[in-house]
Amino acid sequence: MATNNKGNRNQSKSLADLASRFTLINPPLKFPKDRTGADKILSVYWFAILFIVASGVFAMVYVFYTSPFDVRNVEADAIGNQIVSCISQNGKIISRWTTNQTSLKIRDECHLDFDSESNENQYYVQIDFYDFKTFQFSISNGTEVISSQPLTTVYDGNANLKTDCEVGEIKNYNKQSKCLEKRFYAVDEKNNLYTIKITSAVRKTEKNAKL
Amino acid sequence: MKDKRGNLLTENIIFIILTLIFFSILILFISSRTGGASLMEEELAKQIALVIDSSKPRTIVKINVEDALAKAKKENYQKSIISVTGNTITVKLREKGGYSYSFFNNVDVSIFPDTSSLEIKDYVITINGYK
Repeated sequence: MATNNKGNRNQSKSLADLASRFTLINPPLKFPKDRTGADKILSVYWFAILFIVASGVFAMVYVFYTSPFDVRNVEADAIGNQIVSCISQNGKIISRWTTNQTSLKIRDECHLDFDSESNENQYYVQIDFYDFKTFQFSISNGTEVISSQPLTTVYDGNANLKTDCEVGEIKNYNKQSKCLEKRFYAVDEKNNLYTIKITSAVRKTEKNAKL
Repeated sequence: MKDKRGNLLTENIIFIILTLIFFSILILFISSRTGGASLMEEELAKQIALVIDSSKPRTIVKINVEDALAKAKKENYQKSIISVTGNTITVKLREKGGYSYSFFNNVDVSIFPDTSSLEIKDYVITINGYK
């Protein structure tokens, strides 16, 4: 009996050992009463997320509102319209544009004032007169390429801006001049039909683009 | 236990206050950027220049400038807010500021406040004729 007791005692002791080991390895799952530590970690993450979101908003607002309003396209369009109404009235070319084109100064004929805040001329305008019957163009990479040669070309303003227009056809750079092309058809007093292309370029980069 | 509850409450209050401060700064920054006098000056000057560029002689345009006048009042600026010199439009809503933009239409322009109503709300742009 004594041996049995001793044996039971030993057995229970080893079970207790095992239990204690088991408890050590896998402690019972208890939800912690004190969760302040977890809250702290959560709030740090919360602030980190807030900081990232706010930085994004700051950056977007800063970039958007420090860039000036770019109105050069609208301006170039308005110049084009003014020249169109200056060359033709009711679809008929005003006679001075067909008789003595080369001696004409666009800014005088079309009431344009190329003076601006900047010392350098900020505008360029070019008018190309094509014969309607022989006028040909092809479309390459989504852009129109005119293959005909113009009968006459009249231009005014800063001719350096013309290169910006050529580059702009390939890629649009914000710091370069904005160019716009208009094309229309008109007849002269002898009923000859012309295709007239107007190219207008506006630089004004300092006032319209972020430098 | 009381101490822990106390800590939890304080931490929550601090957390809420910090979040509020954070969002207030964000909102203040956005409102200062979007409603700034400089932005309004630029917008108005370019708008008027483009209106003149697209106009034919003997055109009269009335432009509502209530917001700009309110901004000028806020900035304690009492003088005329829109002026034209040669072919340049200048909008000035504060003493140390102003924005100028030129127009290409070679016309004679005059700009003045519309005094037909008791309170000035509009400015009148008169495009008289080619120079």
